Amino acid sequence: MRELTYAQAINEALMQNLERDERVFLMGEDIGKYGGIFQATAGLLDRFGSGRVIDTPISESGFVGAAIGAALTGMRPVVEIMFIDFTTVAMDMIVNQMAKIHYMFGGRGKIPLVLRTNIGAGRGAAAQHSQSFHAFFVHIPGLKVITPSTPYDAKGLMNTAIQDENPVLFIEHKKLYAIKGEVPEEYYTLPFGKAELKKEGKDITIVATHAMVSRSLSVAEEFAKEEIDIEVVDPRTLRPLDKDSILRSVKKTGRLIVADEGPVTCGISAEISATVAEEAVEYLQAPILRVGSPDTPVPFSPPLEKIYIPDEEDVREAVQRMKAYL
Amino acid sequence: MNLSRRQMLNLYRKMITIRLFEEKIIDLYARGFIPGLAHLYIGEEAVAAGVCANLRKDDYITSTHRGHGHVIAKGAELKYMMAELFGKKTGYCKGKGGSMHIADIDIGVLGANGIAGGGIPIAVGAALSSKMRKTDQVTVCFFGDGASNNGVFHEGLNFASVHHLPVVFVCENNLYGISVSQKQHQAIQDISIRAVAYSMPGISINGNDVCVVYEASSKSIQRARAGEGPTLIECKTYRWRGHHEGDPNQGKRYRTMDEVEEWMEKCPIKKLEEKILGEKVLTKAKMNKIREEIKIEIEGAEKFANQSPFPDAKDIYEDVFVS
Amino acid sequence: MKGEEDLEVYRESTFSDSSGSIKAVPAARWRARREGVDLSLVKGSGPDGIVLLKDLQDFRITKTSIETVTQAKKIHASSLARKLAGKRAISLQSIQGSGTRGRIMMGDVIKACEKHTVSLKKKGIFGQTIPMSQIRKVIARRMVQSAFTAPHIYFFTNVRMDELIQLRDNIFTRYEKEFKARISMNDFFIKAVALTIKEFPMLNAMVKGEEIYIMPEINIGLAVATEGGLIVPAIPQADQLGLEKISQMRSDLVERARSGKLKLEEIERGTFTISSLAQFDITFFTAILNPPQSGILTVGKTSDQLFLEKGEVVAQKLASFGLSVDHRVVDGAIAAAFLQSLKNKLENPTFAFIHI
Repeated sequence: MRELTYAQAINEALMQNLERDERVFLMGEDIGKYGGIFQATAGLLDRFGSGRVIDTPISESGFVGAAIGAALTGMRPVVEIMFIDFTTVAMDMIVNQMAKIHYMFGGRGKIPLVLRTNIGAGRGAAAQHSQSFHAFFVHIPGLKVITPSTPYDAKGLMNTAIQDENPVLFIEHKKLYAIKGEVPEEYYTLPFGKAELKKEGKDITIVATHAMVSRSLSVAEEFAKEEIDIEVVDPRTLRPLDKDSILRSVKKTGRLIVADEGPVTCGISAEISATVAEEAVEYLQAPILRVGSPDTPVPFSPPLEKIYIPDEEDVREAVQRMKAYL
Repeated sequence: MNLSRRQMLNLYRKMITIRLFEEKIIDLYARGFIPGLAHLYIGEEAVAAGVCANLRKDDYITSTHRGHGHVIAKGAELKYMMAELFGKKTGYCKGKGGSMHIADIDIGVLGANGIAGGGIPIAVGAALSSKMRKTDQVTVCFFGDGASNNGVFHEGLNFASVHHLPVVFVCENNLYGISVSQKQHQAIQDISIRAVAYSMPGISINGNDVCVVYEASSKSIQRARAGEGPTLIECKTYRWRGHHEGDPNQGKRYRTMDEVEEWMEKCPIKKLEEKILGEKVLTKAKMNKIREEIKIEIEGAEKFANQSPFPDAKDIYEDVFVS
Repeated sequence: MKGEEDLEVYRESTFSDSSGSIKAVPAARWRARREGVDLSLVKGSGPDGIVLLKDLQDFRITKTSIETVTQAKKIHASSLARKLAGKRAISLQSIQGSGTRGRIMMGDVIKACEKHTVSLKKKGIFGQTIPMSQIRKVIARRMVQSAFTAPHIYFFTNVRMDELIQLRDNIFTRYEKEFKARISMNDFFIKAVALTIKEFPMLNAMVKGEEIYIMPEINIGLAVATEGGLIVPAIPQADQLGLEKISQMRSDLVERARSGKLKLEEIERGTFTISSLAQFDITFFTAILNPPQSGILTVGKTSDQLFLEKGEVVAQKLASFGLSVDHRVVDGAIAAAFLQSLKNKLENPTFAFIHI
């Protein structure tokens, strides 16, 4: 099977949807002529024209709101916010409008909209262009939050997102755009709320998102030599969350590490830890450990940024701590 | 512009309906039947009635927290509105939205909105959508003087103008953003001059003369429908009651009773009644009859709301997502 | 004294409710609760001594609990005082000593008895609530743990003691002179049981998770009643020791048990227990297994009895022996056979002890 990068996989999903459904259109800053800051929308303007690929002014509130209005009246927009950091500028539209309209209107009116953005530090983009606060959006009822970790997952989940009748936050990762993986040529979908067991194991469970998946897999390989068998679960979607798969894994191993790139406090890992503590406490053979970013803004200087990012080192440390409970 | 008899009658009916409905709300709210907040439209009826008389059922409007007038003018049914205000299951939003979020997509009401200016980008989106779908639907966006300072106003007008969208921005300048007077919150007096910045026509009109409102909005809506782009209309008007029911002494903290009385003299309904009588469109008796009919309709709506059940406890989880 | 205070506090914390101050991972705590295991007795191998699930599976009695049981607060008392206190079932801990350095004298015990009876008469024992001493608490917990973990089955047999008693009487004086030890019936029992276990190894086993571990040595424990509670020191490799050695060791262990000078290891090494109430008018009795052992032998009083033998009425000295076993490990047939073989040895001591 041919390989595509994560960015190319997303590009292909967008293209296939623009082709098969005339209600789909794209909006965002620099997505047209420039092809998107990470080239996820490269070539689409040429192919589909400016009627369907719109380069917006720098008005996040304005154009996200416009996407909402369009979705409410029969269209299926895919709107991009360049970095998750900028979603703050459109917070009212995301939190107070998009997430709530279907509910507040008693079920009348739906917002079949996809909001694409990305997280992750590591490109020296500093504090306002490197955050990973996708946890904010999982906290708001009415929004779906998707976190693909591979090109294959990205394309399938994007196709599902565009078909979904609800507002979907599609969270990509800066450091994953260039990774390659096998991606089928045809149109296919992947279900929301279904985690994937990226690696089976029986001693320790690592629930990981985005780039933490591959980091956890490489650490798992290291520890396999010590005959420590690590299981890696990729939730793929955070709302809806595949609780059952996570619980099943923890019941099997009794030891849980949650690895997500956001700051540890009140993050995704806190939610998953609490859920496990509530629903499977009697299976726990060790404390639940969280791997994530420290509680600081993202520093600019490369050595500091390196410390900031939760990488293989941090996952390894967690596994080391866990060894005492084996 | 000369309005036909029928047009005048329709406008009259609409304005009376809004006025009597809102007066009923004063009473019901005071007696505790309406939970939460109520922001009443009394005094501004000419704007909603005058603008919406030019709209088709499939045209869109976005409204504000002070949305009863717009929603009634666009064709909402009183009993479902009343039930929603009471928080009953039979309301427009199944009791889940309340006064500030009343919506009915079927008649083009894309929701009242609790966030100042919240409806502006949404209206722009609806206009974008109808342009893409190549229908000639028009969107009217209602907002106040307060919202005209919000970022979304500028973003919305800019986007609409650069993309040449079929949207009419109607600013109801009632001289106050809650308690802060216009003089205190913006350096300009005529909000319509901001249209220049967004390369669209802008006009300021007497928002209490329904015929003037009707004419101005008719032109703008036709423009939009013809694909000629957006317009900004500023309607100068005034709300008689406080910002919300419960605003002490109808806003005495920030405005004088003299000012209120001055504007009550310029009552839009009184103005139309004078015109109707003057042009012998209706007799006084006939006008009273219309009032009576509407009163009965409102009482029917009240009864409906009273008799309707509240939502069940389990309904709280319904409609978070479309399944 | 500070050291003792610390020990008291430490003991207090170890013996608090098992779901309180004992650190254990949730899975272990749940399992322990389900199986009625006292976590305070389990040694934790996780960080800071937290009990892991596997520790529960390798259940081992912790050092502290045993130490505390054996090293009951050292009480200074005269031997007469001790004897009387033991007889009257009064705890020396509660008695104020009037001798040198607070030594408890017999008079003190007598006074305490009188006071006790008076106070009892004053208040009446019925309706009273007496707090458990620390040691009693531990004993109680272990009893519960054993009783509710191991399914007990019981077997009884009457043993004709005439020959054995005769043997003992014959050698008693010379034995004492030569070996400086006084031979007791228990010594014969210990040896006989050890030899029988060689024939029936399952009586020397313990349950380990889903496996049965047959302990490498045959170390016979003898239950000793002390003022603190029941202690069971064990004679190591009793199958390989001569009766002389057994008597000497038995005598030494019992003495040190009574005076609280046993080493932990001397208790822990036991693989089978003998409990005798022969000095009381008890015909027979059942005992609860001493965890983690799989067998315990009870000895009742020997008494003159009449019974039929080949159609004739004979008088014999009979004693009722009981055997309780863990049915997870020992089936009825094996238990019965064991008891039968033991009976044979005791009834034919000369032949049995030719093995020496």
